[in-house]
Amino acid sequence: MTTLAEHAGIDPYREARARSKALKQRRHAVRAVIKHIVLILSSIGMLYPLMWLVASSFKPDTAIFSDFSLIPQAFSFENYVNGWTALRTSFTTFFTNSFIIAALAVVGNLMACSLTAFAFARLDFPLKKLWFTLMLATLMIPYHVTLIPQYILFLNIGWVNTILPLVVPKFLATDAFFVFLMVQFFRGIPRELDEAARMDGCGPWRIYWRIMLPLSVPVMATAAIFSFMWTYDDFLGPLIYLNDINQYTVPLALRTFVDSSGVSAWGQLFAMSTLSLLPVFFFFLFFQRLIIRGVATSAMKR
Amino acid sequence: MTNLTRRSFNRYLLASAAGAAAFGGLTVPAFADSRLRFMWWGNPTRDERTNAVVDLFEGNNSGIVVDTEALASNDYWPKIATQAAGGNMPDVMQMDYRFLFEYARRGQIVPLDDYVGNQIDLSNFDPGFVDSGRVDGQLFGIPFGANSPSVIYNMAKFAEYGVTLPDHSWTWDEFWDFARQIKAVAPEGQWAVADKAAWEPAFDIFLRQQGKQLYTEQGELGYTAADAAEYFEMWRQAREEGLVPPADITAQDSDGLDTRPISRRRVAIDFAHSNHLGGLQGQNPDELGITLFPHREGGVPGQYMKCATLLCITANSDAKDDAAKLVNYLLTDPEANKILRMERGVPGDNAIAATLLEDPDDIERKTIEYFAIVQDNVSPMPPPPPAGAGEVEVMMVRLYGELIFDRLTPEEAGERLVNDAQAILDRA
Amino acid sequence: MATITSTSSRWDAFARQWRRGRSGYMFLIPWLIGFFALTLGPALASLYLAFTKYDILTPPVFTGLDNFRYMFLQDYRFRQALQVTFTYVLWSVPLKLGLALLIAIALDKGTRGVDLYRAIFYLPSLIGGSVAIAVLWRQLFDRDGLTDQLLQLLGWPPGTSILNNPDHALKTLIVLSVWQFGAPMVIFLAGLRQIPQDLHEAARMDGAKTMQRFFRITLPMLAPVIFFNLIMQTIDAFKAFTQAFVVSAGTGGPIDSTLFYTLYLYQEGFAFFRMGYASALAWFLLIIIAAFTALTFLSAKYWVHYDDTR
Repeated sequence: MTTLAEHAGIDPYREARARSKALKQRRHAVRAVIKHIVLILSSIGMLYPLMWLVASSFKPDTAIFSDFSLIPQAFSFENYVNGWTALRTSFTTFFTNSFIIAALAVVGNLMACSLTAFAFARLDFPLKKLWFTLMLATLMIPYHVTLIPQYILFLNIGWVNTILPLVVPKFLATDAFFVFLMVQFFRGIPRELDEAARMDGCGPWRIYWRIMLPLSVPVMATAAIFSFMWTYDDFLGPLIYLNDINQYTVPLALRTFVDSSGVSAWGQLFAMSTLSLLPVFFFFLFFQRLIIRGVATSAMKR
Repeated sequence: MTNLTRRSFNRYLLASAAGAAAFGGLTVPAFADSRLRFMWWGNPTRDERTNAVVDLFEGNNSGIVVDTEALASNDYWPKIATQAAGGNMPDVMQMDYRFLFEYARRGQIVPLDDYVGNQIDLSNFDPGFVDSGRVDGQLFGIPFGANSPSVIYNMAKFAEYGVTLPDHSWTWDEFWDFARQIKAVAPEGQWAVADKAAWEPAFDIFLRQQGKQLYTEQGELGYTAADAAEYFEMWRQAREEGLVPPADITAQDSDGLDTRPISRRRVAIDFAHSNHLGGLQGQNPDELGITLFPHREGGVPGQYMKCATLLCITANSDAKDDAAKLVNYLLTDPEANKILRMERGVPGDNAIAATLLEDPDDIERKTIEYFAIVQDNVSPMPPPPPAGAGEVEVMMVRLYGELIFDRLTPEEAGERLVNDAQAILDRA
Repeated sequence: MATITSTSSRWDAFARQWRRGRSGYMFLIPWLIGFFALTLGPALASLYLAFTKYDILTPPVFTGLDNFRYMFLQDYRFRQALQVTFTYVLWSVPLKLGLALLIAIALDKGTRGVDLYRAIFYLPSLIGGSVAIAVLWRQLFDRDGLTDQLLQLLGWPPGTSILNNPDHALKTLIVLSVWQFGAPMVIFLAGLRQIPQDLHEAARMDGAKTMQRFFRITLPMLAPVIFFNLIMQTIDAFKAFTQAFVVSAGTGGPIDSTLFYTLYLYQEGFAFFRMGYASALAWFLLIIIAAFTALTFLSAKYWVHYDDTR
């Protein structure tokens, strides 16, 4: 016995299939919506404290700790205007100093650490394991106990009160974090690529320059972000090595706003803190694009 | 080899730096006849005033250039210590009384006796007050301002509660009775008195009122476990009655003026050094007042004056004479003090204090009036604290925390305080 | 005769090895200079100081094993600091890494507006250990703060302070650490980007489901990066300092409940002038961290495979 549907030449499963397809699509849409809701909710969770910081920067000092709302009752730029010039030197100088030091650190770290990482990841040489272990070990000493010997060292070279102690080490790959990071990524790049290049007569320098670096844009961008941010944020180094307020960096200047023994200018502190976040934020936005774009290049090369 | 001298220690480090030396050698050239470095810790107001005075000083003393550096106190001390290790301290530094002995006895700051009467003119200072900068007989620091532990209260709250502050000759019993009056009318979430039991000056005054003290002349503990237990018990009762806030509010009261219970508007009465009146007022929309600690029935006066901060000249300064000039200018110049005013406490120079009295602002007037009362109820300065005293102070805060979080009884806490303090002194 | 040839051939082998290694050392020159000139000296100095009494203000005095004897036999704050630090490491590292990996995969591609989400999730890490954190954390976790108000909605009595409760204060610092998961997230993102797309395509053609692809492709390919993040986050967590310092105003309180190891070390060195003892503490910490790192490296044999060792 044939069904009516069959008789009419209708595919009996078509409707069901269509229904299931629609269902799948709907499920897909639902899942996307749920994903967005989760992302948005968690974004708010992530952001609440920051929004509070920004909101407080527009409030007068007396309202900061009594008025918890995120929307200030009176909106005022006073903290920004006064904060910018509250210290003997204006924040123009502090921002300039911070940028110079952070930019040099990025350049130094990318150059020196990638060279070192290339050696550890790709080249063979005697005592390699020993050096690698020692390099990792330098990460494990709390910096508070090497601070004084290091200070004495830089004092004797005559570098105290200059930015050299903050910058020169970066050109000497002293930050093992970045070396290790790059080693891990370099090792992820298939060896066939450099073996093929070696067949073509490329030496290690050209392999480093022509193959490794172009294929490592994501990790280099990552390293650039962290170098910039951590140098920009660092305050202990500048505190110890810089004496002249004209050489102060932003975090160092921010710390002088609040003192436990006196009147604290919270509003100005928050205003300047907010401003100090902007450069790192934009630096991040720009370089994270490179992390994404880097992939396209390496995928193509593959 | 049991002992490395600083120089050989440095040379040893230098050897490892030899390679790096090839890279650098940049130094900041100094062209002035004499270049001084002057460091202090403070706040934006203090920094602005002090820098203005330093500019004046440079104008009056051509040939002397002063590089100033102002930090928050949390950052100031590690930096000073690091510089001391390298022999690169500033020429003139602001000193905290609790570190005076550490730096003086370890030869990092120099005795100033030879400068007094020459570059430094202390003729208008009370000799007794100047003595607070003495370590083992020599003058290592000159007090920058006078200071006394005090009771700070919120006048607006008193008016709101309809209570009147008793006379400043109050006893501890009267003090707690007054607290009970406040508690009776205070709304939920507010208490009468901040729990400052762990604040060392409060304990010290309590001891001194019964003829005891924190440390004896010989640097030994000047109290027993029973004394401490009695003190802790007094506060425990206050906590039980709800006169002082619960443990979490007391625990938050760590260091900064902004976390004080009075600044967080939790209590009507707090305890603080008198030179913090201005800072606390800055945190508070209500008007604050200042008065004496309660005294002990039939006891002796326990309160004392001490210096808030001192000025010191470091051993590694190579322009000590000019440094002394700067110190003198900061302490005794009338023009300079018109700018500095009483931000670091009441000036030790009586002539200067008198000129400030001509046009005092609100805080200055209250402070000076308060000082007039303290003067009549003052006991002698405590003897210099032994090495390790600073650590005992920190330990007591921790120990008191265990008490308020109900991990110790007052008796146990008294016992622990004496034992742990003794262990710290022995180790120092 | 025979011996000569054998030495010379041994020499040849060494020379060959050296010649082969020469370019390795050429690349290593900057690091070697930095290591010997800037890093090694201060590190050895601190090792020496660990066996001295050094008050910073006067030269160190050699005291043998005194520091270590005091550390292991008498120092109850040392034990407290160890306990706090281990608790912190064991909780914060897995939570932070798990969250970072999860978010990195969610934000790898596909969803609209990923760029923005990525930036937003990274924002908390930008604040780092700024002073503002102390105030923020009070607004969130202290009496009358956000958590207090939320708990009141759930029927709790008012006046709960998580931040100033010795039983819970450490948790707020673990939350802070997990909240700042940006750094490992970015590294995971970069790692995900290095996984060749064709592998996923091939697997999809073979009919592998999302979950299967995650376990068969993503995880193994990401292993070197997970390994890196695990090691670095563990080291960082053992050395955690700034956040605890800022939130507890340097005290490690209430009653030492947030006394991180390095915070204790800092107090000993700079507040109580015992830099020798602080150095001893530092070198003991180094041993602990090295042991953890070595274990992770040993375990790597079983779960980390590199493209270059086939």
